[in-house]
Amino acid sequence: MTSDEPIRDPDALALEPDDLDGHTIDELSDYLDRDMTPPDPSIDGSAGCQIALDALERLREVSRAVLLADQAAPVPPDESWVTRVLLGIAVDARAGRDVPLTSTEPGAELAITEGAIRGLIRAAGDTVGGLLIGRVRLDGDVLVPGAPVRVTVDASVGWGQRIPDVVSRIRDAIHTQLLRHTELNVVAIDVNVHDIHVPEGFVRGVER
Amino acid sequence: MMLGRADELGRALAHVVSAVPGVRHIYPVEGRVATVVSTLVAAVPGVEVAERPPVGIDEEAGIVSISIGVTDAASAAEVARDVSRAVSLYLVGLDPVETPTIRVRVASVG
Repeated sequence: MTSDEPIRDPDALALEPDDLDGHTIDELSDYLDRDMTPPDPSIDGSAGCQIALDALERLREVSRAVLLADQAAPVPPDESWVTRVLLGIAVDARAGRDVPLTSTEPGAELAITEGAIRGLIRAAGDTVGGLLIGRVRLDGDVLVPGAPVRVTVDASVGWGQRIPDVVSRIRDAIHTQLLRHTELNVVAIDVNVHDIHVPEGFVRGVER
Repeated sequence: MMLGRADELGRALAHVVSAVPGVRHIYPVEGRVATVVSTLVAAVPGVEVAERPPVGIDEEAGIVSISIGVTDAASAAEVARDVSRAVSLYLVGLDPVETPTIRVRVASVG
């Protein structure tokens, strides 16, 4: 499975420990629970784990409130969107290809990994209120400087949010981050809203 | 390349890289270089340095390889260029027989 293929069998991801340098999302979640003590060099020294830890921390803040609201609702809680986000974090944290960066220094070869780019896209999305990023894809020949690249993200939007407004904000945030950190020629940012989650304070659309 | 002992050079380069604004992590090198430094590098305040060798040096091929994480406050591309310049300046000061290739890879942002 390549990093850009859709997730068809979530269970298969658990059999790919190399994605996170030998660790699993569960292990990283436990590490967060322990406030990252005692320090684990194999986690602290892994770029993939650091990307995943950052994403997990942001996800926790949102999902805690959402799950509390779901548990209070008269309908069974739907945790599938959280699962999809977790799977996205695990897949996106993989380093992937080295995307070249220009340099004026003779003999210098600079690059940023696809994993780092997907991580900053996810971070940009998570900073926009009312939305969570589930999966990030980069379509295009990212190894060729200047080649057109299309960004696609799957997202969950909070109940009560006006989806076009949230999508517009997330696209702006992602574009700003990519311009700042990379030299990608981004020609499009597609946001696919797959889920709507219920923020704390809302049950069946009624504010409490 | 003939720049002296690899472990000493690796330690010195790690400090050079750590001093570049925007660098948050120095990650262990991966198995793409033939020779890597064998000693640990002392942690520098404010920068997390991996216990495994942080700077890869392939003396035969003349390659210095560095993998970093940068803070979100700085441009990843600019930090990579700054790291490359800093390493290049340091190596030129050692008067190498051949100018090595410097590979800088940004592995995380934030």
